[in-house]
Amino acid sequence: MIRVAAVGDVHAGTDSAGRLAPKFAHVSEHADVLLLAGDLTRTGRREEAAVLAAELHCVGVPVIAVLGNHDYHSECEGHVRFELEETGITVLEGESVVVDVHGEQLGVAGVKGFGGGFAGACGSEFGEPEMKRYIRHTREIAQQLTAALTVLSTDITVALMHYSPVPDTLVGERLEIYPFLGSYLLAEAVDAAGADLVIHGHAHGGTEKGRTPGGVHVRNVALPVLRKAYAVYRLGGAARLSTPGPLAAELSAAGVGR
Amino acid sequence: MTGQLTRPALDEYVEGHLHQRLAEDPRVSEQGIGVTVAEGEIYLTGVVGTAERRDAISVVAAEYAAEHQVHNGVTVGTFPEPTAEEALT
Repeated sequence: MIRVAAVGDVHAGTDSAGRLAPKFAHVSEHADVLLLAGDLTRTGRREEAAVLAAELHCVGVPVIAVLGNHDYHSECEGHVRFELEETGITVLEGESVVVDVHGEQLGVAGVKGFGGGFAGACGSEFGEPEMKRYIRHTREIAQQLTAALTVLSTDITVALMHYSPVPDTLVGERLEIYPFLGSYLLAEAVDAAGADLVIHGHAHGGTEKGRTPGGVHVRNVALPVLRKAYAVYRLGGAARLSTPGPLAAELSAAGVGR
Repeated sequence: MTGQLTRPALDEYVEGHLHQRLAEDPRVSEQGIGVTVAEGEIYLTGVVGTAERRDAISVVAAEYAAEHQVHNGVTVGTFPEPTAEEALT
């Protein structure tokens, strides 16, 4: 059994110093690992990341993060990542990490994700170069996610991202902005490679709980959705979904995610 | 970023431009603020992390639409520690 604490959209700023640490003071009593689902900073500045890193320095459990769109705003996401990694936070972008938790292995694959929309109501690589680049970016990230999940053969597997893989967890947001909030390609990647849980943020006005079409649990942990400092999910037991889902063979045969 | 509103504009355009401005102005940088304009008054909703950020929203909105009365209903989230966990099977 592994307990995962998760939150997204912390939006740390220089005005957050001294305010976040008390919220996370007891994480190690509640969970074995803390996942951060992007939008770690307000505007993606190095000093904002440094504040967050300092606030999380003493949480006492491994911290694993992905970046979100806010963390790219100042176009110095490399510095943001550096500041976080300097204090031991693992930042994933198309990568995975394995954590040993009391003899069980937790695998986390992470990507930022991107938008594009959901099946039947999504953009395509068609038309203007800008539109093609937009959708191609999402496709490339989905392929990275498939690859990062595929290398994991852990007891529990979590896919961590900022953008949403499903519309279920967007309920409450305006329909018009769904294509800016996520993409079904992310869910397809998860169902192809297999996972026990997807964690995402980004949709402040959304809903916490959903599932991929293949049945994997999805949780939107954006701070305004949770209305608490973080959520805790307990994973493990008889019924698990960490084997590749029913779409895997079909997608593999079609060359998707390779 | 658009400039200050200098002439009467349809409510929908005021909503659109102010919503974008609240994301693009570095004093705010919030994408999730609800903006509604009705009968010359602006109503703002949402949740932010600090009182300073809530107050900055009032400043930016007032700068943009000086002729409008701004009602800042944005709240500051307290976000307490969790009291329960969810078991996923």
